[in-house]
Amino acid sequence: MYLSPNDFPLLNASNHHDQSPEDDTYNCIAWALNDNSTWWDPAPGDTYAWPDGLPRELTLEVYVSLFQRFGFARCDNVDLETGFQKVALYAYDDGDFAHVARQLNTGRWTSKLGTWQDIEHATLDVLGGPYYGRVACILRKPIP
Amino acid sequence: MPPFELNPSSLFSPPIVLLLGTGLSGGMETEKEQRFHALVEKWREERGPTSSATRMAMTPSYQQIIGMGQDVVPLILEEMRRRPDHWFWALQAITGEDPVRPENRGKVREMAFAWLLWGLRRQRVTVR
Repeated sequence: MYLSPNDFPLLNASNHHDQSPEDDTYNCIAWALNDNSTWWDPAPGDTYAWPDGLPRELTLEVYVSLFQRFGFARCDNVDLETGFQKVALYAYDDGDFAHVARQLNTGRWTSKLGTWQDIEHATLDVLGGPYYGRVACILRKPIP
Repeated sequence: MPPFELNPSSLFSPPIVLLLGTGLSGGMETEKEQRFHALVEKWREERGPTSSATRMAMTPSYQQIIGMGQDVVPLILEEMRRRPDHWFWALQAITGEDPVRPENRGKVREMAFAWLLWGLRRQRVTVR
């Protein structure tokens, strides 16, 4: 999928590159969890993968809880820290979850864009805008 | 000769995938088929890069596809045969059924496979 300025106004050829073709079978949540075979989604009807007992809502807080179940905890910065994996959750102004990116060991970030491709991006702000809102929460977990 | 085992990986790999079809018009598209394919194309634009099936399903084009009712089920299955995609909401809404096993929730290829098998059993998809 060609990423146009209409999709992500801050994205350009110098601050990102594609890592994969489009794929309908996994989403940004899976990709942030190092999984490229699952579509994690709280959609009603018990259709997709979603932890038992977690509300089927699109709110940021529910998604924070999802990542907490995988060992993540809130932190206050996006700096690369040895021994920790970080993820950044984006949200819309209404408080709903929009996207999650995973930090690479270079300090750059990787994102699966819905059913579109994976990209590596230099910073988090380049995905901000109408599609993904803005970064609302940083989480980290120790790397075993 | 060992028995043929039908599974998700074989289903979506040629030549097995070529054996399944809906028996729909192979040549000129009907008006219904044209409308469906136009809505599918529009839906893939409208949904953008979202990771939420709910947001995908709430787009006007997806809702119009659901509104086409039972007649659109073979067309959805045919589309799903070509490209496993997020048709589960629509299929559940139209048919009131869900053939996906709990252990396959979130495994899109396996979910699509379950729906295609459902289609075979209900004769919405045929082996050519």
